[in-house]
Amino acid sequence: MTETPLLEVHNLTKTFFGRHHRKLLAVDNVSFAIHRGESFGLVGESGCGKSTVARLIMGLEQPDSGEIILNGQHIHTMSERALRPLRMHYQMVFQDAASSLNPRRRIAEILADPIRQHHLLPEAQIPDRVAEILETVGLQPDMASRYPHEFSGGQKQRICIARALGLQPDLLVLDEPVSALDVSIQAQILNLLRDLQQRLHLTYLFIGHGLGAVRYISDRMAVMYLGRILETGPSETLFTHCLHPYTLALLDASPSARYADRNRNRVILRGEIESLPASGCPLLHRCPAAADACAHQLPVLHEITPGHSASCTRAELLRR
Amino acid sequence: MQTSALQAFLGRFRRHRMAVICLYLLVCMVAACLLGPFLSPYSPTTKSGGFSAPPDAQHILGTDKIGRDLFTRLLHATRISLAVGLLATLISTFIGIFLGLVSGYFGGLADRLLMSLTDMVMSFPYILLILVAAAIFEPGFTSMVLILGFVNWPGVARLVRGNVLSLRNTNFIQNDRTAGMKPAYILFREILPNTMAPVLVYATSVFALSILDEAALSYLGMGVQPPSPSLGNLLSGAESLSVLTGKPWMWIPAGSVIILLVVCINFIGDAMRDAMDPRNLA
Repeated sequence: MTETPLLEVHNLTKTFFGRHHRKLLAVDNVSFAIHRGESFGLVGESGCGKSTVARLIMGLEQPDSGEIILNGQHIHTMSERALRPLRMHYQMVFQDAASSLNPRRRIAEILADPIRQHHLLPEAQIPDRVAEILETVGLQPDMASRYPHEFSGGQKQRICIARALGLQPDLLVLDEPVSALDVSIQAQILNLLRDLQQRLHLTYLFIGHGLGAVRYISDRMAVMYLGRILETGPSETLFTHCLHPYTLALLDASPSARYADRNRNRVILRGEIESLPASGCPLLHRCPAAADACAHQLPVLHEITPGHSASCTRAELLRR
Repeated sequence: MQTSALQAFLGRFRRHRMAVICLYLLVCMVAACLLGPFLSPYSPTTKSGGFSAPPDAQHILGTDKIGRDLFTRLLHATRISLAVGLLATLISTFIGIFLGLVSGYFGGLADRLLMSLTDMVMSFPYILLILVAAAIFEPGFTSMVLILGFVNWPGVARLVRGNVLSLRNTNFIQNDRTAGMKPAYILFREILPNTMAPVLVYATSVFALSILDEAALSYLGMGVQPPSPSLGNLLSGAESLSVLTGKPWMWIPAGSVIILLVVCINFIGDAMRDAMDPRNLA
């Protein structure tokens, strides 16, 4: 991989302050890179900071430290005004499609306004373009005259994808785009996303907690826990030869439809997701493989096999 | 599809019997005071009959103490009071919307400053403020409208600010930001239309309040100046006990019109609030 990545994230950190100045380290030293045409998955439990990463990249939150480089430009240092013209190159799709659309505006307006704002097309060509992007996401062009509440959840998500595609972005940040949908609709949207990626040469950052969906979409993926990346590598490798006990537990925790898989020995984490231990590994109190050393030493993400990294001091020992 | 939303609104509105009756009443009153010159042959400011004469065939509501026809004066007074109320409401709603939008959307220092100002105006005994303002500026129709307009905006500002704060975190506003939409677009095309329903409802109560305030100020002699009639200064003709007890035609009609206007406007506002909530099925 000699060409420069489309998106680089270096040492991204973001802390939120709750009531009584309680600190919440939402994103802690997160780094990754996504190459053009690639699909990168980010998985983790609710509250692990994966959505915050998306919001930081989109400029909806300001990072405390770290760098976000899109296409060679340091977008995290730019002012809102300077950033505005660049925003068309990277678009986001939210989890809740219903609230992503202004209930008082017709689909035609919702889709046309961003195109207008960025002066991508002369006014006369906009209706045709709206019809075209509706068709691209598998909707009828005559649906443009309707209001958002007249659509189903899956259709609303298609409209959200259409709005993002209207700006012809390079990068699409998909923040749990299918988590709120029925399983059968999930598959349709995932197929659409995969199809769009090939047709339009898109690059994806796909965030999810459903491992199946992330595996289906992503070429490479990263597993997050309490704001940190615990393991990253090619998706297939992660699913077949994971290195981190947390990834293993996550894989074992996802319900299997096949009866035969149900009775094998699972790795189960103890307790609930909690705050960071005072020292040592963030997973310390929950890890089934924790050793004495884990309480003292903060593991760093390091490459174990080419392209596959884990942040576990015992990763080599646990290789299977 | 737009018509279906309107039909649903009207359907929900119609379920409020009182509000429908009030709407018709209000329309009649507005029509009557607009058609004033055609309904009565007299001038509101010149003598046309005996002093303090009780109602008779020529003067159906009697005359005041200098012989002017009270029905004519009542029509003109209602027109002026409605105009004061409407203009003052427009001004305060406009100011409230603008400050609420700025405060809610931009937050930070602007928000803190504007909200302190709002609290200040709200907590100030505003009858006193109005009296001082009326004393400094020439009392009259224009100053009346301006004073009431600049006093009643804090409620609207707070309402709009609250709405903006909750809307700002909705996905469609965040989506606009990530799509690179300009703040003006987000504020006026996306946020404003979504706050108009509650603002409109609130404005009806500001309208009713303004009519009451105008009556109070004019009664105190700080509002619309004679010989122009207004509902308030018609009432001030009834300051003495002898008029109150012996000449009821000089104050009961004006008082009744004030009550009717305020009650009608409030009922209509209530019905609008329910009708604008799509969760209330028609």
